[in-house]
Amino acid sequence: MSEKFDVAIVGAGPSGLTAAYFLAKKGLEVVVLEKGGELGSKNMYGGRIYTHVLNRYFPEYTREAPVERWVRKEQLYFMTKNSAVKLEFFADDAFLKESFTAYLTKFVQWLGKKAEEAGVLIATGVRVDSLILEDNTVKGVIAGDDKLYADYTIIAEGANTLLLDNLNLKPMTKPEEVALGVKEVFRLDEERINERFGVNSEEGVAGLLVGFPSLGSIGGGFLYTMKNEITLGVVIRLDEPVKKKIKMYEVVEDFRMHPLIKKLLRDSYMIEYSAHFVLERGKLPDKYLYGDGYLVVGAAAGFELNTGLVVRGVDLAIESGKQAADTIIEAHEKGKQDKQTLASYISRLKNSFIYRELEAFKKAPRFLSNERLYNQYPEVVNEFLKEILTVNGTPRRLYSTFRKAMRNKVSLLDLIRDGLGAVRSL
Amino acid sequence: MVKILVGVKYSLRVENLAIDPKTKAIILDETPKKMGDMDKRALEEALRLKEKHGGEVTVLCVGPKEANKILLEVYAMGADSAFLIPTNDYLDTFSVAKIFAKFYEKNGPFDLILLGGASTDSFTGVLGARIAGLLNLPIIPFANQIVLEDLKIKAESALDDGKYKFSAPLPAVVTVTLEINEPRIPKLKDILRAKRQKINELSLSDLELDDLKVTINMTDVRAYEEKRKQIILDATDPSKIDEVVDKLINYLREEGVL
Repeated sequence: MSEKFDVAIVGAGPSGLTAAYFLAKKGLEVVVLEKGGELGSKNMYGGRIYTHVLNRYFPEYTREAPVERWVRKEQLYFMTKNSAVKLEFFADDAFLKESFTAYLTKFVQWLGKKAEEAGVLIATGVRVDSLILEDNTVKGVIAGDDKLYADYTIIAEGANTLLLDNLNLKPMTKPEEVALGVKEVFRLDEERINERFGVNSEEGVAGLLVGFPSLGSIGGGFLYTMKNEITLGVVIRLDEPVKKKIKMYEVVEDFRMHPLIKKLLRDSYMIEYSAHFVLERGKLPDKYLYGDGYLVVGAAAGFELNTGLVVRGVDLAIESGKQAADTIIEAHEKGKQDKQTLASYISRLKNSFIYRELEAFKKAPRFLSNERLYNQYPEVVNEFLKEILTVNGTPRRLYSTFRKAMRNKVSLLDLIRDGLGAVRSL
Repeated sequence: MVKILVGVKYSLRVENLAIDPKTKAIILDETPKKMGDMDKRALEEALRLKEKHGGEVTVLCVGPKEANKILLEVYAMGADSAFLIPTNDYLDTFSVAKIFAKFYEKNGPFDLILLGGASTDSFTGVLGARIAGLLNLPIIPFANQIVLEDLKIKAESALDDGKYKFSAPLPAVVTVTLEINEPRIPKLKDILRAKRQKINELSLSDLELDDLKVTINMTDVRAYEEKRKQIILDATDPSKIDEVVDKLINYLREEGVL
């Protein structure tokens, strides 16, 4: 059987499915090939989706998408082994609709259903091994012995860029450019989550936890409340566990046994455990994002953003999928597949929030690879508050207590340097 | 030319059973499902017979609507037509056998009914015999080898007490074991073709079985409770190791292990 499609998409994640949806809506023949046995089975993230792109492209999401809870409370924890300092932002009603917690698996299944209704053919359980390269142009995909021809190929393979790397379409990812995220999901009934976190059933909490969760390594912990579950996990830059000889499963267990976390999880039980790569390097240089016959979208393109306070991926993935679809729709009308025509993908990205934001935070990865942020500062903050709040007859003035907390940990010069670094990068 | 009817079950993945830690009840919605292991081999065997002798493979599944997932797999493997009888009710094997018998009568004639020797989840292993009983057909259970020759089915079965060789005239019912073959893995083009094939749905009334009643009802299932003692002996201090070992021996004696 000879098969030919207008567009073949490798990977049924948020970026690939968004591209597929918009292409099919314009009447193009689209096939999506997904390695996972079922839609969403290989997708994983912390737990939150920002809504601005959904408002623009899928306004019906408020009725249809599998929202767990709207984020009412944003929490930032600085943790030591036994203590923690928590900073909490209680959102007003307008902010409440900025983001929601959800299971990515269910969200992807929702997007997949929309794409199929638009006419997309999604084949799961198919591992794309290579791309068809003829006359230096990508002309489709190869899976096992099967070749599938397409005028355009979209590579949406996610953070683990095996296809791009194997075909030398970009430089190999280095260990310090990726992090490993490990997540656990704990079931606890809705009522108790509401009580424990001070929210109602529609509202939830998103937390970032710095210091102890990553054992002072470059990385951190995260926590989200779902309807009937708490998801939490740790992300650590991939070179760190190797360098420091720490085991990821022990890191996660220690995190869970922290006195504060232990209380949050009391009476719950674990129902799921998963792990995934997270990119930390920022986006790929423009020249690797497109070529003759193909485009790269989503996490594969490095469209993930970590500012230290805000961690994003799905919204960037959706936007890049939409821009890729628009690029191909235009090229298809002209009947062209060449690199020059597809270069308009880059100008589209430049006009989108993706480049604006990634450009603004391009120094963030370097700033965030400063170990003091994960090691010394959480200790100092905890020590300072512990000291200043201790009442035992010894006077504790603000500045001298602060210097005392910093002693042997951070020099004043480091503090000034890091402060300036934060201002410049974030 | 041989017309084969294959039965497949949308089974629980028992290795991933979701169990409520308090009530010990199985959470069906959260337990992943798949095509039964032996059922898949029955289908593979049917496809091989078709490839050798020509003919047609029809697959029937009785189960919830979501079972169309495994029927997609059935098409991807190469079945000619797949039928789903959607039902969310619990059905005992006798009811399922009645459905198969009725389907056989209405959509037949078939030369062969191939089934898994037992389902992956409930593992009763009696469906084949039930169907054969209702249709008055010969039954060969737990075959690990099948040959079709001169309108006869010849099979080898390794049963508890020895190896048997059977031969029966067609039409017949044969159930197969895990050892009979290694099922094929569908390729990209098979999956794309399967996506375009239609899963036929039949209701119980289409089969004139509106008044189907289960004879045995499963009213409850609970997992066994495994209580752990959670005794931790601290053996970090080498000077106290004798004491700790004595304690350990005592505990093991109390449990009757030693």
